[in-house]
Amino acid sequence: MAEVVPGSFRDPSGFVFMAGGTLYRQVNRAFAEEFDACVSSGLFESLAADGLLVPHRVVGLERAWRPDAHAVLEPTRIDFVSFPYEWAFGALKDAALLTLEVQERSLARGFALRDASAYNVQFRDGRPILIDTLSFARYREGEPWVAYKQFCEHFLVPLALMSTRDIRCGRLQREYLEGVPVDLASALLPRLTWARAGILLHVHLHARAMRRYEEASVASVTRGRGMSRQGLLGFVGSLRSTVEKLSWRPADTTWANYAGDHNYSESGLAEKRRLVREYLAAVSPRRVWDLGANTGTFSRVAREVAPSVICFDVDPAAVELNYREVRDRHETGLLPLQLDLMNPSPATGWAHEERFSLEARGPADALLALALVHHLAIANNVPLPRIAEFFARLGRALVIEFVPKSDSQVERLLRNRPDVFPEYTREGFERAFAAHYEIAATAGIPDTQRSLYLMHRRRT
Amino acid sequence: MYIDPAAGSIILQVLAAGALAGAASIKRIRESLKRFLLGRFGRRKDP
Repeated sequence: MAEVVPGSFRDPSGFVFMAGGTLYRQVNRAFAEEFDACVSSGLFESLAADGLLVPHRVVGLERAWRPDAHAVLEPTRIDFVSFPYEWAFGALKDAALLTLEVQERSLARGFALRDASAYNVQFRDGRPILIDTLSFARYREGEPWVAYKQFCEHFLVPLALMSTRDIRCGRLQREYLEGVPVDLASALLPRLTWARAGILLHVHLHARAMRRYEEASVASVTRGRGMSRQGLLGFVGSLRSTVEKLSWRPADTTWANYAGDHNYSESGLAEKRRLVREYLAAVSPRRVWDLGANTGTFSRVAREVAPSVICFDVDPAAVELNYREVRDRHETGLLPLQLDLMNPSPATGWAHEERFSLEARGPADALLALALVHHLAIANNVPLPRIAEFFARLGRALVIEFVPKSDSQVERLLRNRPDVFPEYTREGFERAFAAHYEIAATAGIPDTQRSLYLMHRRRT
Repeated sequence: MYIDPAAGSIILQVLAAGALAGAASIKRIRESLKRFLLGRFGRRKDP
């Protein structure tokens, strides 16, 4: 069974498709000259060797999806496809710097990136990597960067808003799939950013230039003047320096401190680690999704038994701290992502198909849901049967912690609100989950009233 | 993928590249002058 990957249909140069469980990229004849020039220049090879571009091997044309194929490539698969609106601040910044580095190195070999979409970047072992082999075209002397606006709207603008206005502005990326508009950013950014040369040029003046020259002929305004390669490199350097100066320091948020703010004794925590490892090992998962991973303490326990762990958390500070740890310690097989389970990433883009929902990227072999259910059930009023039903759609096995009402963390949630959760009991929890899972094992966590469960999804 | 670059973005690059090149030239001249003056008169010694 073969099918075209929906996120790639807009490019007339080629597209990505799956056949027999293998991912292929077809290069159309319309792009043959540019592609061959790129191959013979050694650019692909050089970028792939340095981990900047996903490597591929050329396979026979008999694998082509359509007859207009010039070449068929088999790129190395990325384990889990993530989207910019799920990335940590630092991840988006690293992806921006990767894009600029690729542009600089392409220019050095006589090529240029013809698009600069953040969706062309994925993460592998804590490092960003460009996945679109067809993003390159020959550079023509005098040409400005056609992808400049796209780079600003996909990378610079969200980073500037997150850095100087509010980290939650990153959520705008989910609404604006084509990039957060520069004019919107110019209106939202603090006045002080007018004094920062890079943001002044690439956001505020950019927004004004776009408005002023909306209907203009470029040739008549510039009087035929172009942009030298040196000028273009200087411009890319200015973008790099602007991006590098944008920073965000994760403040003390409720969740970023949560890993240290718990009510486990030392032995209780050690036993919880042992149980999590033991339960997951019994499943032998290839891919684990840690829902509510915080800064990734138990994701790393899961990583001991699974080659790939996706660490989801709602808090941008926790995700940022986790991302930095993965990157700085060169940890492999861990991907921290921001996700609000109350409003998980939807299927979006054209015909709801361009960007996959969270669920469509599953199911995981195992879910980890530690100290999470009480937040969904009590802080967010989601009935236990609904939590169980959704989890069963996301993962085949489940390692889940039940935190009873007598626990100090649940008492804290109920401190200022009436207890309208009569079903939130151990029996209610087991009943709700038993509708979708078979309980394979359970154990209490020492010095607490909490319990850990290993469950297997029932076959339907 | 070929994308719409937007006229304003292209024009801004051409205009700004001139300005950036000008700024880089001024910086280079300033550095050269500084080097010349330091070479000619040396650093002022602390009393």
